[in-house]
Amino acid sequence: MGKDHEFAFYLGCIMPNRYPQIEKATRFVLEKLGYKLLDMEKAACCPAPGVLRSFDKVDWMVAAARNICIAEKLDRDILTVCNGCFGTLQEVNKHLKENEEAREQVNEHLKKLGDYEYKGTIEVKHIGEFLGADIGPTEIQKYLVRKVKGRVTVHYGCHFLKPTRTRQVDSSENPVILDDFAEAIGLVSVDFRQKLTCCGAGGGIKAAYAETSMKILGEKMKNMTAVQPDFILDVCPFCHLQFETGQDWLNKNKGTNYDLPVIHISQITAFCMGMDEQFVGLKYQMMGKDFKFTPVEVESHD
Amino acid sequence: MTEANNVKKSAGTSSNLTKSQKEEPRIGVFVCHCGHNIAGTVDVEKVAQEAAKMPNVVKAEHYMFMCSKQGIELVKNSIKENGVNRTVVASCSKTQHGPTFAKAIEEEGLNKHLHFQANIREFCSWVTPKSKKEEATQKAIEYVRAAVNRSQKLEEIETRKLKTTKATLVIGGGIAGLRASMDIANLGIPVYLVEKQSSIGGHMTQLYKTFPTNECPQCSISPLTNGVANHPNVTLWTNSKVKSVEGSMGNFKVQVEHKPRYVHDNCTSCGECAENCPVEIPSEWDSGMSMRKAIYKLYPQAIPSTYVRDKKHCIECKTCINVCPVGAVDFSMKKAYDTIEVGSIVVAVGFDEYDPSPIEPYHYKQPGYEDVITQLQLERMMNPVSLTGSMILRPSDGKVPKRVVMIQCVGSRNDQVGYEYCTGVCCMFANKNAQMIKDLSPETEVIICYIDMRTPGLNYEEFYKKSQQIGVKFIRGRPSEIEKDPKTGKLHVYVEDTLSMQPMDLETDMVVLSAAMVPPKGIGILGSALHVLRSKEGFLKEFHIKMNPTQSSKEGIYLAGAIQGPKDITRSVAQAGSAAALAAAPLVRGYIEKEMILPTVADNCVLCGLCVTACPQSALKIEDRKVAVNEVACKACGICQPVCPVGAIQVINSREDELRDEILGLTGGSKAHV
Repeated sequence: MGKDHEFAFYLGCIMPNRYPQIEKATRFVLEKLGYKLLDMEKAACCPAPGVLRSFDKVDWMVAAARNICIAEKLDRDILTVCNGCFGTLQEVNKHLKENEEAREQVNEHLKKLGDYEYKGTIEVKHIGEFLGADIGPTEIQKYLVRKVKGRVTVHYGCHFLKPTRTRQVDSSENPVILDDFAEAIGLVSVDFRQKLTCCGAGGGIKAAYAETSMKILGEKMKNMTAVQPDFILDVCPFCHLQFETGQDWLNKNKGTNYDLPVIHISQITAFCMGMDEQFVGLKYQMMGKDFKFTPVEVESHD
Repeated sequence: MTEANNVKKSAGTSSNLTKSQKEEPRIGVFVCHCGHNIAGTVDVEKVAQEAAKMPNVVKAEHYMFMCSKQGIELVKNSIKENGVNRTVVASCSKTQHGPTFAKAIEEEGLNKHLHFQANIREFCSWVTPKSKKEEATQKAIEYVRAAVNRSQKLEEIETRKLKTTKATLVIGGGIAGLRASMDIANLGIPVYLVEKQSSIGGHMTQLYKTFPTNECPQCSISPLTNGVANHPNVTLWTNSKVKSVEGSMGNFKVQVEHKPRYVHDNCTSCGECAENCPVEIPSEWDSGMSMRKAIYKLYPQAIPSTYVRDKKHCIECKTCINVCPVGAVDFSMKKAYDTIEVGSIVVAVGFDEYDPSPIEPYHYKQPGYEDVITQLQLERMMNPVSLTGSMILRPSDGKVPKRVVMIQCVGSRNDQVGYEYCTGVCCMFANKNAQMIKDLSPETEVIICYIDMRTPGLNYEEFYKKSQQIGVKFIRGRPSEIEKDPKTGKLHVYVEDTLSMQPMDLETDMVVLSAAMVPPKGIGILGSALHVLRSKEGFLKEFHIKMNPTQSSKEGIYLAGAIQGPKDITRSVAQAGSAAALAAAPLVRGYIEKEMILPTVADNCVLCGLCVTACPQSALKIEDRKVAVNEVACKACGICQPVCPVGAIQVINSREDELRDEILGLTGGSKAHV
């Protein structure tokens, strides 16, 4: 295994605290693909791309750069499974690589935190980009032991693709990367209204304006359920949390009766690569506790 | 070159070239306050005092406004009273007031090339903070010293009259090109009008009505199209384009390529050929809102009315040849070329409508989004000869739309996709088309989503009011997305009404995009053939945005209409008139004046030919083992000078030693004759 088959695995906050099953699934997928994940000791909050930056951009960059420095010391690219972490780490990394003035300023602050110096030697990867583009819908076929039948509403979220000029992953207005991947593992990605809007969690809205956050999610759920999907496919633990707890809130407060399972791309991919369904961990989630995937056999690759 | 034989010495300037060299220089320096512009930052009095100490300076003064009548008198008097024979004015740039003082000393009998400007405003006072007066003053002194040094060796240069070719080339047969052609032809000047389409008329003939009077554009333009086509002074070449342009103001040589029409001029326009042609494709002229054949004419009133064969789509069944009653169809026609000589050129190649496809959220041209069209498509739909017969119908199913949403600033005012500029015309044409929809289909609701409603000018705001009065609705907000509901198939426009701060979801039957006016395809090739500069957006750049918006970057080539920047018909016509006047002036006069600033070639020339290759005007060639200068073509750009390996070729008054003297003045050396 060379450097290009190793990542510094950035966990973030929500996944290890709320959804360890996403972490397990991610580790399973990467191992099966022949990748090694290195732990980032002393890594801290990314910090969230909307909130802290709005208050203090420099501190936001410094905290992010510190995380990047940890990966730089490991000499590995960062892998994250979260849109928010990706939003912060990718953007700060790109900005500091391109802007000498900001780099010097951030490094001045980093000195105060210990043995940290941002050098700009690594890249930041999102699991959606890694699976959807680096591995890709064709290559992934070699690793699938089964596919899953079902209709799925794909939720891209915000920071994975926006702003397009910074991310350079896919068009943020008409993306196909996740839909193509979903189709590659047997799913049908169904189109729905306002597919690319926010889930309502990010930017501090969930904490500061809970009602508004739920209003946005309510719209989202209405548009998704209108096309009767089997489950929601997402690429971000924070969106995941919003869909999970939000459906529950809407059911309790707005008289809805939602029970749509929420599946992270790592979870479904791990299942298709042979992980036992119990480890997908739906029973530990709030929605679709009894949901079972409909597996489809695939021909052996041996 | 033939022009060289026409060269005459102009009266009054044929002075002895060596006179100024024989006389000891007596330099007058005049420092301008320019109100506070210079004096607010520079100690002008001190500059004048220092100037007085510089070599050969016999007079040094400062004055509030040197360009005023009194200031000019100071310069003139110094010649009369102090025997000044060279002048240096330290004020603004040489393009601003250089000519003012050059003319003044000419009136006192000095050659105008013996004047030199020191730019202590743009180069010094304007770019130095007022708090740094001492530094600014020092810098101004250095500029003056540089100018005084440069002034020492200046030579007299004569001005010659060159005969001009009495003919004009107009490129583009839209409203601007037609207006310019007509105006020039009426002055008795032969005009070559070159149009790349098979007929003249341009975008104006594609419109259903024109704002702010809702007139029929076809009716307004036909006196011009007919007039130009039948004018004895106009040679009309359609289906043609300009391939190359050589020469300069007064004498251009232009090659024009004529694409074969495959139909001879004896065509009676009976239409038998098109009627029998089996090929049917969407008409580009009608933006796909009608069908045409592989042999066709653009529209019923097209001029010339001769049909044209579209070789790309023709299946060569030759039915047209067989049915033509006059035998006009001829597949053997070939590309042809003409070379013409003209004295001036008017470029009026217009614009293209922006293709909104790159704006992904609007899904223009995407499958399932047939009901998202542009304003030009709507114009063609409303046209009496369209597929819908002038009815407003949804392209997807032919039903009358209950609601039409128009979106403004599509490709305009967008720094992410499209262009940053405001096209400036779309607010008006959206209002006009909204009124037309209400006229043709009163039950249809029309909503215009806009960022700002820009209707400056007489009768334009009134026109907007009229739209409001007849029930057109306006929402201030730029829609984020046009989306088709996957369940119902209905179009939705998402927009925030920024006046009430409410997000809105407008269900609609049709969407019309007010797409920007953008530079026409192929303008890069034409622009480089003409050797003219373009703006960063791609339009042809005017010489000066305020003072000379009609001339291109090159003398003798003028701009008319939207090729210089987006504009409406009124302003295109006005600019065309201006272009016509400018293009005609040197031809009516019969000559232009040229200052003979030319390179001289010394005996140490090794005939390497580097200067010949470098010359952008092709003004140099090797003849009889000498570098010969075409005095007419040379623009004195000076590019030959640095490429010469032995320093043999030197432009008068910009010789290397003269430039060195000037630089020494700036860097602290005061000795002029180093």
